[in-house]
Amino acid sequence: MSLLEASHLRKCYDGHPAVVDVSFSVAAGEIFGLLGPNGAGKSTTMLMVAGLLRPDAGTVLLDGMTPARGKAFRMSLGMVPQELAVYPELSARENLSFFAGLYRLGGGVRRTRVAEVLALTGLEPNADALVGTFSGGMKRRLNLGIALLHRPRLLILDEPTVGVDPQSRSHLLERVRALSGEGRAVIYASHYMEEVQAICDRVAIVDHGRVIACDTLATLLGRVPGELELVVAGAERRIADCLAGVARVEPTGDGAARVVVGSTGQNGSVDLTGPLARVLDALRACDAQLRSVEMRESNLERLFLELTGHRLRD
Amino acid sequence: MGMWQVVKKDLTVLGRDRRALAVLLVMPLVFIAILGLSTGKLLGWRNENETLRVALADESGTEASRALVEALEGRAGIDVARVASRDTATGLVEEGERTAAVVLGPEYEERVAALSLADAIEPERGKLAGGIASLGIEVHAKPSQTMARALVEQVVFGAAIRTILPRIARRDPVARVYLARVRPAEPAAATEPAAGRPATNPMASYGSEVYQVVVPGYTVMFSFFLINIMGRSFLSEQDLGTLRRLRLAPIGPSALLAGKTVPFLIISVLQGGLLFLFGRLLFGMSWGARPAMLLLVIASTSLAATSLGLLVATLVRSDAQVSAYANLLVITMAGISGCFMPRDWLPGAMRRASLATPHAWALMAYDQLLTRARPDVPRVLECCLMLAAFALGFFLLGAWRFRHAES
Repeated sequence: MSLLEASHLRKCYDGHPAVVDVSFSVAAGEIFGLLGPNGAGKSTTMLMVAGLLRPDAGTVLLDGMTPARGKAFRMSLGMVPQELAVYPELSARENLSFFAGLYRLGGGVRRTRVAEVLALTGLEPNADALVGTFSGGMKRRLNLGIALLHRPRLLILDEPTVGVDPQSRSHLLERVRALSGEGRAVIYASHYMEEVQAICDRVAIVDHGRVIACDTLATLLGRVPGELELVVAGAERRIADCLAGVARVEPTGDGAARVVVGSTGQNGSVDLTGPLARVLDALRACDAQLRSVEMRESNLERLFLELTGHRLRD
Repeated sequence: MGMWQVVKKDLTVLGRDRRALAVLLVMPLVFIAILGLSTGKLLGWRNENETLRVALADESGTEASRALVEALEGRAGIDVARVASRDTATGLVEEGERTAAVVLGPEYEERVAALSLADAIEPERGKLAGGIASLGIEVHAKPSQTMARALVEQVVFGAAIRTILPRIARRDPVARVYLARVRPAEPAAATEPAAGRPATNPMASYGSEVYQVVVPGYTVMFSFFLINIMGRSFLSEQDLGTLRRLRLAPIGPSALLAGKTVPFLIISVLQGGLLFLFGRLLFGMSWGARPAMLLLVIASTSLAATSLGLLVATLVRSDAQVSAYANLLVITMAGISGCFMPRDWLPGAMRRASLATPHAWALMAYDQLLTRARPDVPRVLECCLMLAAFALGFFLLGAWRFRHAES
């Protein structure tokens, strides 16, 4: 059963649609990825899900509650905003203690949770240093830690790894996986497809305010199977003529050409012996030189390109 | 509970922001100290501004005129330089060496001799109705020194009456008999001032009046400078992303806004209190007949100022907007309401228009408490209520803006 149900969300700013029609659901313990380029409508969608923005149309239900339930809704939700939403004039402990207080954690419980989160984020040694002196990665970890203080059932992470060093990124991703293991639902919004691909169970690809694909990662990747490619050198025009009707030829721009022999199909189910032999014969016939043989893996970037005609970071 | 968390956090953040603290607490004190020094009120220290520097030409040269000159020389707050002629006296004024020139005309003795006891007792009715001119005395000062000129005229006239009165009394048969009965040993001493007795310093009281009027004006204006700091505090929360995080927390918008406002209210009350305390300790400023009520006015003014700050904070989107809106509001409202000059000097239409500003109500309350011997307490309470009404209006508008800011 879904913990979160977002149905037909729509939001316009000054008549310009930011989100046109977005629907998805997230189950407890699931990491749900929202993937899309900057300006696709991810942040607006998350603000509506968090109850910070009133949708022009559509509904949000978290554990059966609408955002109108106010405090009960907010107690079930944790959000890690894209900005480093921490106070640089306070120490890590003071930041955590302040937000813990806002979430009505008092006395001993507050101290315990703050200590837990400091340990969880690896900030114990710097707990009493002013956050203004922290590195970007440490601030990001604190940013995440604050959202975990009240143990929310749904955690929304908006581009949580922007500007983070590889070590902190790896730490953050591990934390997110662990949270999912504890039964928390996670919405992970990013334009870093590698991250989404690495940790998400299901992914919605958003572009121009619409969900253009939403499924499990395996199913989505299955829509763009791997391809066997040969990189060849020689007269590009001649190669293209020789391979017409046999294989697709893509110029590489450095005097070579990429010859796509064929799709490997789901789980490499397609036998490419025949097509490969035909391509090699044709290449021999036009005196092309084989430089390398490559497998182009299926990935979300290719899926996005296929679905939209443009790249994620265009 | 959430509100007090925000209060505590903001007080901590503010406490660590030395620049903001300097603007909020030290700057007004520095300003008021400068004001105190310029009116010569620091710990009884006297500067030149506290002394009327007068050049005096005695063209009469009679017993009566010499008595007046001696009386003026013995008076505190006036530095009399005797000069030979009218031209020398006025020349010293032109050169800026002296504030005013006093010329005792040649007919002074003659005019004094013509006075009756009734003229001296009721100077406004008889032969003295024309003031010093009736005695042939002239006072010259630069056009920019009208206030000083009026003071010198007043002092000279007072001294003249005091020296004239015993002379007339001795001439009057009824008064002579009376004086002989009540002061048999020293018949003249009853009415004639001792030559060296320090009388009240006229400039000292002038300085006090300035202080009593100007200090509240600047106190009110500085209260509203909080708008700047509050705007920047909200903007900083917005830029950091923490404002969104606060909105996400289980705390109502009103509690959140109150939490953001209370620290500034505390600082504002502290600021106002410190200004009056410093005024009292360093400059001998009077707290009026009902000092406890000053606290009420300080608190209500601060409430109105912080609520306006909150409203502005919910309207601005950038640092430039904070500076533009806040400074425009602070300076304009202060100017309209009479923070820069006594409200009595404002034209009637502007005085009426100023009632649309909280500043005006605060100034009226301070005026009652600081410059009236018997303050009109209901009037002060009415002013405080109006300030509270302004505060409520600003807060509600701010809360409405805050609720609709992101949706």
